[in-house]
Amino acid sequence: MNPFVRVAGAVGRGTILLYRALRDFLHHVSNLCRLFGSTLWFLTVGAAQGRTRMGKQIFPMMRNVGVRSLPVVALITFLTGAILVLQTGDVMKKYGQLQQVPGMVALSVVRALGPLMTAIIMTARVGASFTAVLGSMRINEEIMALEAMAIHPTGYLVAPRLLSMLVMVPCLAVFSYLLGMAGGWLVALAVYDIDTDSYIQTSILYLDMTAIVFGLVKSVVFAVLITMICCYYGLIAEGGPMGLGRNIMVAVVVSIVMLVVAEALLAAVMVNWLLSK
Amino acid sequence: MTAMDAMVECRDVWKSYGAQPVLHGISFRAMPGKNLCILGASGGGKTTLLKVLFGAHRPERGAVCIDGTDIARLPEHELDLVRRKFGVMFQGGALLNSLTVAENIALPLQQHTKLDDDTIQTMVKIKLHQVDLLQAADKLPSDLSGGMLKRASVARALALDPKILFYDEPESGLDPIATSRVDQLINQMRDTMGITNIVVTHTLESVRRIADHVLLLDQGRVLLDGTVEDLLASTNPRVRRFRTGELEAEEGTGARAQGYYKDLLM
Repeated sequence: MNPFVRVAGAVGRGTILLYRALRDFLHHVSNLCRLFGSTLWFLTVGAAQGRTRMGKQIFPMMRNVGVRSLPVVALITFLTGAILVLQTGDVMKKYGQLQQVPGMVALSVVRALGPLMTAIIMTARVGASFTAVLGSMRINEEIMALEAMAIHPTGYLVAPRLLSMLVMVPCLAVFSYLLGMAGGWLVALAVYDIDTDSYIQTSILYLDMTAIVFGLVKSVVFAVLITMICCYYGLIAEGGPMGLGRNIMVAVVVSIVMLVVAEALLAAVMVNWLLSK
Repeated sequence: MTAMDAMVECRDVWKSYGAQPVLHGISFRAMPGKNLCILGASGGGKTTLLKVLFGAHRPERGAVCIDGTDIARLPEHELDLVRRKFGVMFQGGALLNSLTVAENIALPLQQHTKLDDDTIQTMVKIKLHQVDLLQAADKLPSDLSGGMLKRASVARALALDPKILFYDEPESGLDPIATSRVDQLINQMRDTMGITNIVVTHTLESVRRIADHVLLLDQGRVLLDGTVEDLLASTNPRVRRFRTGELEAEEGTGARAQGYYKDLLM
C-alpha cells in the first residue's frame, strides 16, 4: 500500500479515537457535575424542605467513614512523618540545619502530605466501598426499586455519603497533622538527638494559620472529589461482576489522579497567594 | 367513555434502545380490581413494557395513563406523586441488602409519611402478616429463600397502600409450591383489597390461576388481547406455538437462525 495512504489512515484513526476519548471525558465530567449539583441540592434545599430523609443511616456511616478509618490513617501518616526525617536528616545535618528539621516536617505534613495521604487512604478504604455498594445496588435493581418508590437515589444514597465525608475527612486530616509530626519527633529524638522541647518550639514557629486552613480546605475539596467520583462510577455500573470490578478500579484510579491534580493546582494557588502577601 | 375508566392504559406506545426497537405501538387497558397478565417469549418486550408502565423508562411515543394521569412526559417530581399509587415487585426482590426485611418495608413509610416510629412498626407488622412473613421480620434479605424474597418484595410494595401492583416474573426461579403460593398472594391482593395487578410472566400455569385478562406480546407487538379462554382457544399459528412452548425455544436461543450448527462444524 502507498505509505502516504497508510499514514493518512493512521492519522485519521487516531483523530477519531482522540475525538471519542474527549467526548466520553466531557460526558462523564458533565454527568459528575450534575450529580454533585443535585447532591448539594439534597443536602441544602432538600434537607430544609424535609425532602431529604437520611434517617438513621448517617451516624453508622460517619462511624464507618471516620472512626474506623482512624487506625490506618494514623499508622500511615505517623510513618510518613518518620520517613520524612529518616530520608532528609543526613542532608540537613550535612548543611548544619538539623535544628530546622521539625519545621520542615510540620510544613510538609500540614500543607501537603497529611491531607493528601489521608485522601488517598480514604479513596482506597471508603471510596472503593462506595463504588462497590452503589454498583451492586444498581446491578441488583435496588436503585430502580428506590426510584419506583419515589425515593431519589441521590438524596438517599449519595447525600449522606457526601455529608459524612465532608465532616470526617477534615477531622482525619487534623489527626494526620498531629501523627505526622509525632512520627517525625520519634525519629528526630531517637536518631538525631533533637530534644522534645525544641522540636515542639520549632514546629510551632514554622506553622501559621494559613498553612493549617489551606490544609483543611484541601481536605474538603478531596472529600468532595472522592465521594462524587466513587459514587458516580457506582451508580453507572453495568455488566455484572466484571463490569462492577472494572468500575471500582476506574473509580479508584480516577480519584487518585484527580486528588494529585487538585493538590498541584491548590498548591500553586497557595504559593501565589503567599508570594503576593 | 366506557362505563368504567381503566386503571392502567397504554395508547400506541413505542420504545427502542438505541437503534433497536423493542415496543411497536402497544395499546391496552387494564381495569381496576382485575389481574392483567402480560405474556410473551423472552426478548418479546414484556419487561420493557413493565418498566415503561412504572416510569423507569420513558416511551418515545404514545401515552401511558396510570389512574388517569399520563406519565409518559410527566416531569420527575410530578411522576413521584404518581409513583405512590403503585408498588413494584422486582424479579430478584430488589430489597435493600443492608436493611432487614422490616426496615425495608418501613423505608417508604419513613420517607413519604410523617408517622411516628410506633405506628410505622405496627404498619410493617400488618404488611408482613398480609404476606405471611411475620417470622422473617428481622432477617436480612440474603437469608431469605427465593419465595420469601418475592413475598417480602410484595410487602414492601404494599407499604403505601397502592391501587396498583406491578410484578416482574413473580414465578421465576421458584419451585411449583412456592409459585402457587405467590399466585395465591396475587389473587388475595385483588380479592381482599381490590388492587389492580399487572403481572409479567411466561408460564401458562400461573396465567390459568390468576389472569382475568391476558396480553400476549410478540416481537414488541400485541398478538392477543383477551381472556384466558381466548388465549387457549386461539387458532393463530403464533399463539399456538407460544402455547406449546415453541415460540420460546425458537427465539430464545436463535440457534438455527444464526447458523449455530454451521459454526460448530467449521
